[in-house]
Amino acid sequence: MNFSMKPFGRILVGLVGLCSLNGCEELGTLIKPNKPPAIDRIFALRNQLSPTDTTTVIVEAHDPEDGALSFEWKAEQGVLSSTAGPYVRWTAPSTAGNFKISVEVRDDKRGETQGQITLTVLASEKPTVKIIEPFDGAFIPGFDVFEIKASANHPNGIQRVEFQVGAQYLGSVDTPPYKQTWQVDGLSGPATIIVRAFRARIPGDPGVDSVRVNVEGTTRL
Amino acid sequence: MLRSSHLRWWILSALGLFLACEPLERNNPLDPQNPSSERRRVVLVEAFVNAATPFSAFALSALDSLALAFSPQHVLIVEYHLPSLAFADPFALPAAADRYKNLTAAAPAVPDVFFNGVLQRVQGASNAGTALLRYRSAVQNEIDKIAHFTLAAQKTISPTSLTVDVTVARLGDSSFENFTVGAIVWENLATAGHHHVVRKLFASENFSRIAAGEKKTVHFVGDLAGISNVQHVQVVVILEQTTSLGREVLQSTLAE
Repeated sequence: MNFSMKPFGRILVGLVGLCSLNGCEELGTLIKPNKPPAIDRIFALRNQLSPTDTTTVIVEAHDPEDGALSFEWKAEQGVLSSTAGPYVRWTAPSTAGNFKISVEVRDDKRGETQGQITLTVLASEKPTVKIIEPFDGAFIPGFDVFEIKASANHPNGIQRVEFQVGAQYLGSVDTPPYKQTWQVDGLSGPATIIVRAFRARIPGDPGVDSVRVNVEGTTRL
Repeated sequence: MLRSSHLRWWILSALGLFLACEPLERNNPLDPQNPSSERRRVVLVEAFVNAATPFSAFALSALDSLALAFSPQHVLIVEYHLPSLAFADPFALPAAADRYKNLTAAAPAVPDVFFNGVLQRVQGASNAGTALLRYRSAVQNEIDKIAHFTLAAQKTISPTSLTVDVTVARLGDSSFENFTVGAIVWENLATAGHHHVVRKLFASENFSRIAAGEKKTVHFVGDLAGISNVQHVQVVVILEQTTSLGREVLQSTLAE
């Protein structure tokens, strides 16, 4: 048999032969890299919750190659109802704060993508507040003004601190340091200083501290 | 032979005694020559008031009570009445205003009471009870302090003049620099709240240095202007220094 073909013709014949062996598909996958899963969004039914409350966290993801996906959830704190599946229920810890919940999405070809969401746990207790100056039982010379100083704390933050002497509202401060001037010129006698601190994010009863002082009257000459 | 042995015994005994004799130890704490000598610091209470102002009466009443609670050996009280255009006080003394300025630069208002100069300051009074409470507390803070000065003062009153002779002794084992010695003349008017009314202030004498154990003398002479009854006149002599806080009274005494 005279099998005289030119080189180009021989290559073409070879490729046709290879394809006829039904191996093109495998070859394609060997050459084309796997695309990892894509996370479309992660969300919770509630982003802010109280301590020990529960919420559902959902991840929406897809595989570009339309493969099957698997999920693995992890929580910084709190308890997850499950660590697999496209959604989980998360029980918040008993302390307030911002907590990360992460999910790892994998396809069937070892491709993986990570995503996370931060949920806020809001404390419901009253803020702590303390009058730093004056101390209880202090004698304050009734001259000019006196500066009342207080500290206030809450895991949610402090929205405002209000200052009052007896029935007289002195004012409100939104950011630390929490201090308020009190006009004592010409005053004389006992007085009660009341300071109220309101927590941020969720309204509620304020934390309260009070001291009883004596303003000692003076006269400018 | 017997005489000779006796003589030898006496010589040896005398030699032994001579060798055993050392300089006499000065351990009397009141002896100015004793390097460890010291005194309790007398607490000088200087009250600045104006009898025409509403709150000074509380302070004056409290000072009357304080005077009953402490002897002059421990606490000396004087009340300066400050002059004011708005509040006429018959006992006001212009020199008192100078003394007040020397003691305080901040928040001048009466009643204002100082204990050993600027070491303790109690300003204002809402009633005699709380004022006394605060004064007692301030006195307690000062009363156990030690002084390394002792003062002895003698007053002589003639029909027209008042003379005060003061001896200052430095106690302890160190010298001291830059201090003043002054005298405050006050009168007991024998009415409530007016038992220590300041009538005159002698100009202070400055000293640049006093050595350990050294004595200095000061002589004050003045007239009796403003004094209603010389029988009720008293003189307090004070020794003070200027610190970063202001005037500190280191020792004071009542002239005899």
